Amino acid sequence: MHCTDICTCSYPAGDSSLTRMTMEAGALGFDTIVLPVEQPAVIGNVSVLPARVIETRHVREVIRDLGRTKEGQVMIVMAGDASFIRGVVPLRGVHLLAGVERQRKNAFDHVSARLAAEKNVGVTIDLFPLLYLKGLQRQRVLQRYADLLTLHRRYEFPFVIGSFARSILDQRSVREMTLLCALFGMEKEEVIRGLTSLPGVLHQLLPVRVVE
Amino acid sequence: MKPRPPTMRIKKRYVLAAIVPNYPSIDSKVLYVAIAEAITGLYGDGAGAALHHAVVFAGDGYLIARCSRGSEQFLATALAVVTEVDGQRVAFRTLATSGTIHALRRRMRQPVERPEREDLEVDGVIYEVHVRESQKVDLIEKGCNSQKLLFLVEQDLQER
Repeated sequence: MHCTDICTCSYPAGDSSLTRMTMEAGALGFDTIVLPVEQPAVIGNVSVLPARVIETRHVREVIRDLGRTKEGQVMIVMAGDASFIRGVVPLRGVHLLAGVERQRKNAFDHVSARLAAEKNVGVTIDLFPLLYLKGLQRQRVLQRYADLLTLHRRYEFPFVIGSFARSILDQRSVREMTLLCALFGMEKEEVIRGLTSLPGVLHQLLPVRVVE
Repeated sequence: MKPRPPTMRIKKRYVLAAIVPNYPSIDSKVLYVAIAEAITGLYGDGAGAALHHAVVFAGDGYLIARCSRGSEQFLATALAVVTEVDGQRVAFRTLATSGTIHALRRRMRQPVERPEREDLEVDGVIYEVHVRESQKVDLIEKGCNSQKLLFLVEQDLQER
């Protein structure tokens, strides 16, 4: 089982160095960690995959940024409104759609879900808000995730679960992630699939073309 | 007073968790309040009361919490969402669940004694240096209300 965690920043942007976060990920049961760094690396038994996070409101800017992608980078696009999501998901080179829980309830609907399934684009489950939000705000995030889970069960688009940690104190083990995902009704098998689905998303299978 | 017969007692389970970072000495009562808040936040007062939770041990970088049998999953989830105790940033890493405290104590490792290092200045801030196992180095800002933490490894310090 190759479990992958997604983290968002390391020292100096965060308080934990890349090596320390990677060591911690290894101790918590992960063998791959995704971080916004320049080069891939292997520290101990844990592989570091470089990622690029695109946060914009315009599809045109996403297309421009995708053109500057280096090979081997995991492209994470932060979600916007419904039209933005529908415009971004079919783009070639987009691997993950993150931050869906921050948008309105109808931003990611059945049309986007079907598109994500067709294009093999992963939708992320970010555990960071579950740790740091309280009360009504956390309830809203749990509702969004429950909605996404319903769509995932119907349309079978890839789910990618990550801690989106900014520090080693935000990283959680595979077991803890399973418990946290149970809060919005996710089964253990679904969590394991969500933690191991990134390689399938990165190696997107293109439709077969007949060349005469 | 006559003690309650064993069949009438609530069956208990104990959960062992590591406290990260392990140097702040945190009082059991403060830990209990933080965990109680997390349980109430996640499951509400009714379910929280049914958990019968308590902190039976806190020290040496570990915590042993008690709950009623069958609710250890809820307690472990609550431990996972605790991010701050008494103004200090912490994380609890659940390690094991058992029916006895003795079994959990056997799983607790004694902290490794490391030679003390001099204080270090990073970006104009003076940090206390705590060297841990596997070349891990925790830096904690010096001062009475120290909040700033840095988690590095020996190699990062050498590169500076």
